[in-house]
Amino acid sequence: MIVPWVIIGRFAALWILWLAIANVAIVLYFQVRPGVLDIAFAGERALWALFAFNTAALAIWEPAARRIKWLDERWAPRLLAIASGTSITALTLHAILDWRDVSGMAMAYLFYPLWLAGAYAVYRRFMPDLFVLAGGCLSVIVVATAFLAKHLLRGSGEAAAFLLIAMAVIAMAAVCGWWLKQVAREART
Amino acid sequence: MNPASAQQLWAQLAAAGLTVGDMPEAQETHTPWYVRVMLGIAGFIAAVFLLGFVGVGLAFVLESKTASLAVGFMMIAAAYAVFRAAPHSDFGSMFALAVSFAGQALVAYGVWGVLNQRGGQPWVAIAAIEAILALAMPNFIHRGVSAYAAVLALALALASSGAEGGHRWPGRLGRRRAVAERGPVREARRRGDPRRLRSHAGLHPGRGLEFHRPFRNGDARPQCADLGHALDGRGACGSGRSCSP
Repeated sequence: MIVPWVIIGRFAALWILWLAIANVAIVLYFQVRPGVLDIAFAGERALWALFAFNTAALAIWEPAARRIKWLDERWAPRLLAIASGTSITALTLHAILDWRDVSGMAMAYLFYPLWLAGAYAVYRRFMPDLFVLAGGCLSVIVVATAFLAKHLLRGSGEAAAFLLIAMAVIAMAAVCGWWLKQVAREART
Repeated sequence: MNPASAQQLWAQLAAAGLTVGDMPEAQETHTPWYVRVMLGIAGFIAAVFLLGFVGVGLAFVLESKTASLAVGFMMIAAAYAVFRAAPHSDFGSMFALAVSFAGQALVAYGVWGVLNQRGGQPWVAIAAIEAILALAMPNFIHRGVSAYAAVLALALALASSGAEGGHRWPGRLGRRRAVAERGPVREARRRGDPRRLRSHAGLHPGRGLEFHRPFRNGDARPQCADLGHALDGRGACGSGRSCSP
């Protein structure tokens, strides 16, 4: 019902409000109709729907913002990038930590690198945006940590595994911080 | 502007008499807040695994509250030394951040074990430690996190000491709180103790915070002397109620 108001409003915040309501509607839809097959996968299907919706919204917003002046607000696509990245990161974590759903795992392993590569290409090459790159770095750190924890924290040698993972996280964060500072310096010069 | 052109510009300005002396050193790169937040979250993740290492590999540390305090403070001191020794090293800063977070968790665990858990003392101690760290640690992320932790601990200290005033607990917490506070009123009614009944019903708002603290399981029973009950010949309460002689 608020679509006409959003269209004639010509205001980026209104579109974000509409997108937020749509996100809530997607989540509620999958809570009300968890699916015919198995209620356990309802959360995963909702995440896939959120990922597809927010990624599509982001892919439409960025080119549109170049033509339409009132859409050209950096915070809005950043919010969409957070929503899209959080969804695919959660799906990848689900694939790493819960391997029962083989098709979902394969989809997450396919789409996560694609999303990362797309984010790098767009926000490093075409329209540099350190915010999205920092979010991507955090996503990589979280996913890599979950992967290491899943495969190293079993059986004997847990203490060494904890220390190794902690060092790996510190090293990844340090490398990401150094790289992001380089990008920030390039952007200024 | 690259360094060479900046040097050239400085030379031109100096030749024109608009500047004097050598060109100032380039300032440290300004790091945007979201990069700092990202590094802070990564530091937390690393600290969790460092704590796991301490918990599994050095289990004797967690078995003793004093050892937890000692090791925690040593880790914080080590982090301070690394921050001081290598302020521009990304790896060093991240390592120190993770070590300090893990050390703070150990200190909080030790403080929680050493001090009385029922009052607000552990939260006050944690708030004081975090406030000192917020002032002393030479790292922006650490100072931000410590300042937030200090304020949070202080708020919890006030809440646990009964100074929450008219605060309404949200949702499920509120229902639990309501149930917890209904209990002592019923108990006071059952005992026929009007003073405790009034205090739990909140009829003495001006007589101190203690009167608003809900009666919990394990609290000491009311003293006969406080309630004005006389003791009988066997040292028991003459009123026949379940107060403590």
